[in-house]
Amino acid sequence: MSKKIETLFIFSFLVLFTLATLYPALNIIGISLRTDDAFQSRSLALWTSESSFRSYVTLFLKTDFLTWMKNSFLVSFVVTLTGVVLASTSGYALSRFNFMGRRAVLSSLLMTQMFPATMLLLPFFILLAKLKLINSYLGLIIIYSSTALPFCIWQMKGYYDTIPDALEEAARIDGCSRFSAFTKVILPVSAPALVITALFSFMASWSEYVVAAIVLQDPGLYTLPLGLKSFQASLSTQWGLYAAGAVVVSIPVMILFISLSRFLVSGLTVGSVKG
Amino acid sequence: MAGVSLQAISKSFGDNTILKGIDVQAHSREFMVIVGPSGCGKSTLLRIIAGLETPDGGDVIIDGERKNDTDPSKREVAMVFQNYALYPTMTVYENLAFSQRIRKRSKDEIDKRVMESAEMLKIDELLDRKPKELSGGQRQRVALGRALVRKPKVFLFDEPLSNLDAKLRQEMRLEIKKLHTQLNNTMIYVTHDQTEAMTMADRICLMNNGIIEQIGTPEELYNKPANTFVSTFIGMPPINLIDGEVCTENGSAFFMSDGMRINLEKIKNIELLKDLDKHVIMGIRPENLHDNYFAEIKDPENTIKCTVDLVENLGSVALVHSHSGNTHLSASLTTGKTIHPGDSLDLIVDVNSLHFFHQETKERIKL
Amino acid sequence: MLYENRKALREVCDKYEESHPDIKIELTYRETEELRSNFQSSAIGGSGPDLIYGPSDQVGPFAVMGIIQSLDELFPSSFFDQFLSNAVVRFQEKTWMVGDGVGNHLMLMFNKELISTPPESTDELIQMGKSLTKDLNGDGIIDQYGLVWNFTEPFFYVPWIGGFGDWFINDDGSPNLNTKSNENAFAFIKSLRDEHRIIPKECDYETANALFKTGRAAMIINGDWSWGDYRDKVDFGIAALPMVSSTGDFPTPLVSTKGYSINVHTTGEQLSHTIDLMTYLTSPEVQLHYVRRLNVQPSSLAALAHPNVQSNSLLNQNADIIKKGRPMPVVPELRAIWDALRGEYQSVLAGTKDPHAAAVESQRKAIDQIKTMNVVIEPGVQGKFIKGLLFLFIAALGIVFWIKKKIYLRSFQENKFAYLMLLPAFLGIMSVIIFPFGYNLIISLSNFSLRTFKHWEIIGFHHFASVLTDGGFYSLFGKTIIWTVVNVSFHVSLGVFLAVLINRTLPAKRTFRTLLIIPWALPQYIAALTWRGMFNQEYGSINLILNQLLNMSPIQWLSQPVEAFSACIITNIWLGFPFMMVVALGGLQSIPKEMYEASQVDGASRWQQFWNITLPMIKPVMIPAVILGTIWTFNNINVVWLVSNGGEPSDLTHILVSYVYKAAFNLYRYGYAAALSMIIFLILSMFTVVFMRRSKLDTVV
Ligand SMILES: Nc1ncnc2c1ncn2[C@@H]1O[C@H](COP(=O)(O)OP(=O)(O)OP(=O)(O)O)[C@@H](O)[C@H]1O
Ligand SMILES: [Mg+2]
Repeated sequence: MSKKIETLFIFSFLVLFTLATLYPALNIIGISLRTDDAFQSRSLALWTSESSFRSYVTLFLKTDFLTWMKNSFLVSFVVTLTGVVLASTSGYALSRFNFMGRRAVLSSLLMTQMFPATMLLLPFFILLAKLKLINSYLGLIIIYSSTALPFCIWQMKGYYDTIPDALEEAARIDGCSRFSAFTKVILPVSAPALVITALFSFMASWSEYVVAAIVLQDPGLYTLPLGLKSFQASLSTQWGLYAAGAVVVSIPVMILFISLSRFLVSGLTVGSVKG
Repeated sequence: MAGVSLQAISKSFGDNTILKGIDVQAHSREFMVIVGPSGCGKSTLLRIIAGLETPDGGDVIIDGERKNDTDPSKREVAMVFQNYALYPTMTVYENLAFSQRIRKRSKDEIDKRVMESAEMLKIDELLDRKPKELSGGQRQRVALGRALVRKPKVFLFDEPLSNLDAKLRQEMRLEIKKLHTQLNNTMIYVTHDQTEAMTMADRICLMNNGIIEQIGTPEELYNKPANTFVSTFIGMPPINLIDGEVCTENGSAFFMSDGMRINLEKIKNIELLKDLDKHVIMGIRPENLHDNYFAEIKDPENTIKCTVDLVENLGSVALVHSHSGNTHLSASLTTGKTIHPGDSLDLIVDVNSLHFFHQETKERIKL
Repeated sequence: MLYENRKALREVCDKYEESHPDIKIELTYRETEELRSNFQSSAIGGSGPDLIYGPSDQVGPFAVMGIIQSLDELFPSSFFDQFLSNAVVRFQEKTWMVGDGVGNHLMLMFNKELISTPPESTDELIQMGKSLTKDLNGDGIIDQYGLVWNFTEPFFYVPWIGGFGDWFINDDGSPNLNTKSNENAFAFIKSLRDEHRIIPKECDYETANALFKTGRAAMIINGDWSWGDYRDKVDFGIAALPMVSSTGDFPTPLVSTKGYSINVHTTGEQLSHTIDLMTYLTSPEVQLHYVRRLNVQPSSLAALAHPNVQSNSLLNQNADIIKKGRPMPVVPELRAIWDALRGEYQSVLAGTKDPHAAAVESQRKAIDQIKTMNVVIEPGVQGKFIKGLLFLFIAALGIVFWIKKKIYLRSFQENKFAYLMLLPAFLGIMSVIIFPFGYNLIISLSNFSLRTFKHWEIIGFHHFASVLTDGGFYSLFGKTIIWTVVNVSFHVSLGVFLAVLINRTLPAKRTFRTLLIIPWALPQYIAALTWRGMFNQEYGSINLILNQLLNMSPIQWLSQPVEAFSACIITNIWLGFPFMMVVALGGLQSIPKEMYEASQVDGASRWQQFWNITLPMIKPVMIPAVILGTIWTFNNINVVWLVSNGGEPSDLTHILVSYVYKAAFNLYRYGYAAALSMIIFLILSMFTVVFMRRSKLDTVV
């Protein structure tokens, strides 16, 4: 098989595969353009004669969607910031220092991923109620940042491990304190990993529903998933609105992913072994 | 006066004792080379001076002050790392300027210092590049430059040339040496390459297994190695060490070994040898063996009949591996005639350049 | 609660706030299921809303848990006399809820354009249904159905049991499912679908609703809550469910009320405000507003007597339909009965059980579940012993710490910087993960359940024993392993395969990479619900594509156990491969080109290169990703829960975590669920340790 034909073959395969992969995503867009009732239709077409942007108009003009969006951005922004700060510092400690309890911390980080999250809800609630953090973003932010942390810390630690120690040693000899060597030299080098960590923290809070549902009770505080879910009553869902909302909710994450995909490949070091 | 003095430094990692009581002093303005085989603890020692490791015991004294508890950032030493450790996100200029920015120097001052160092190292063309756009040699210069900008009292080098090819290494060796003469400050240079040590050092500190084997000028180490280890480590190709006995026959002293008998009478203080236990190790450097064929003064008493095993031609000299009885001898001979494996060869021993060591302690027998 | 209803509620609340300027009403809306679990959680935490509005069947569980208060002491008895008796919800001799309307009952609604008079008996129903179920364009696919409804849900099914004679529950709350009537009703529904074919093969609530609203179904069985939704779209009429021809009895829909209860934690001044608000919200004035806005059958006698109601023909008709119904039971046991019934009923529909066996089995299961739900295990010697052990353990920890204090202190001083860097994250994780973990550990050793909601005690390893001795656990475990292995192997192989393809010199390489990570970027719950829609038997794109492209007959993705489980797996494979692809791409980038060139010189084929270079080189990055992926997949509840709608059919698509959720929040078995979670945790820890040892990766840590 000549090289050209092979490339053509692979190329067409990838095109087909990508289309198939994208179909479900396109499907939501299709539904969002239909009326609520046309949601069960036999047509595979994404755009039909009945399609319109009506749901989107309703979404933005007649619902509190913009408020939810603002809330979600606020929460996600703070969570991302805390997540990045905490993960980058503690990942650094775990990567560079051989202190007592280091192994225990690392293993327990992995272990936190093993416990079914649903069973954490009740204790969360009790804890927040005791701290009077129900119905406040602070409670939500604490939970979100902490639940995303174990993975982010691992991820940061994995990346630091690939950076030679000599770098901050050079910085320290150049006159940096431990901390400024970290902030001035190591952090800039770790940009790809920081971006990934930020992305994950953002994702963890942006589309989270279950915890938000127990923490936030006041509709004025709703985040996007909560708002979205309110279109979906148990016996009557406004599918058009729901799908339109889903599309709009997905857009920021998509944009982030797409624009950061370069970093994803270089920065995602879940398991690079120190070397 | 910015000497560095290490007193009784010891260091272990876990159960591994890496440094076992190191005492060494680099005088002000001296170029001191710490050399030793891989893993002997040189880097650790250097890092202790820099403050990157804390010694378990002993004192680090820089410029007359005890610095054990001083943070590396405050020790006023500069260090060049084996892998250069350039900051990958910064340009060459920023790499050089970094230490000055940390110290909050004025912009002009920084600029001046950076340009000065860059010109000295001929990297002023590269200032806008990132480290990954540089060749190995260029990176090396930038790493040097980064140290230079600091104008430190003490320079530390940890095998800075080991990643370079042979030719570049030689160039840089000269350049560093030149720098030293220009700047005239204390430099401590770690390497495992004896050639670097010999060519660059004012004094060499030879380490092995966490202890110091010998400190001295290159000549001292070459001419008066303190023990067999030093004698083998210094000098290329390495010295021939031959186990044997010193016997007295008819009032004259002889060194006897399998296939070898050498008259030692011409050695000055030969009496000393006679008093000792007769088992010794004799050392003779390949360059002190001569081909009888070309010799102007023949010395039949000290000529060894050998059979050639292998010849390595190095251009001006040839390294000839041969044996006599069970004794292996390598000699570096000026090429004048072609020698083939299997040929027989008469080697004259230069009796005055023989070294003797105690067989048990391996210490030098001072004559 | 429908959007319209919520709006109406907000309107009346606004009015109340106007006249009571010092009071502000905060409305929080939750879907029924969540209302329950959220209110439960908040009650344990000692908070939650003062006034809870919800369906009457919540009264039983809430009263048993002691999280709502009895209304008898708060209102004069004359207050309750103002309402229809089935709007005043009583349980265990006390009043717990007052409804602002009655209804919520099922009826037959018909499209007046297609039907002039509704069927009165099931025979007529079948006959009319047959003539109205049509393939309009002759492509072999039915375009209009005679009847649609969410027939797989017990609530939508039990009226028929009544129609065949018996009732599914006894007055004391015990199940009555092993009856001929139940068998006949099972068989009847199945025959509607398989024999007479007047209802779709798969029809959930959404589908039924959409079909009826768009005129693609002549009749629908639905509740009064849907009127508002249909009003502008279909010219519809209402009627009672048609009489069962063989018995001459009418089906008996459940009639309930939605109403207000008061949080047990509401006291003092807040309580008197709450009482005042509740009086207002149930007043005739408000109810009449609802009649106007939403056509709700009022519960207040005064409102019922109002001319507006008297002259409302819809409500009059409705009142007649209500008379055929039976009140919704409020006992907590109802949930267990629903659950047992749902599973067996769905087996009948899936064709895996005959009606008789299903009736017997559902009765047995219901009794079983009620027993486990109600059992309170007393803390015996074991409990005391464990409690002692726990104390000893904590004390021992303290002592060890005290003894080693010097070492710890020194270590802290040596690495102060590291500890300080770690501290904030540690505190966060500690509070958000470690504390809940410890809490769960204790709960798993306790008798925490519906009946011991407020005063549970440590009982020991009872729950662990009952998990491990239950055969169900092993089949769930088996399914979870299949789920995990299939998913992870597809994630990895697909991920690596695509990564290798993309990594070649290809045009538009970046575009592929970017587009292929989209499934990862899409929020999981949105993706899962979309896929569920796509798996719909008749309208889902998957079957449509299979049919139009490959000419395959439609697969019943969501109502057959194996297919439904496969549907979950397919969804999750779609969601998970991009992560592995990205990790693999990262690994591939670190392989020097020379290695391939060298092997090419050696004459290695592509395949050999892949096995001998690519795989070993990306292994170090893939293995940790595989470990994480395995853990995540093992514990991924979203996809299974959303795609299979909580384990349908018949709870056969559960994996361990989704079962944990069900046990804790649907069956109130917190202790059991916590023990199961601990076991999951142990399984995963063991897996990780073994896997890391095996792949010599414990050096990573
Ligand atoms: N952080 C550390 N932890 C444990 N052991 C270490 C550490 N650093 C160095 N060692 C060990 O200490 C010994 C000396 O190391 P050092 O780096 O000083 O050797 P070196 O003389 O510089 O060798 P080379 O010429 O190869 O650089 C080695 O055996 C090394 O394995
Ligand atoms: Mg070294």
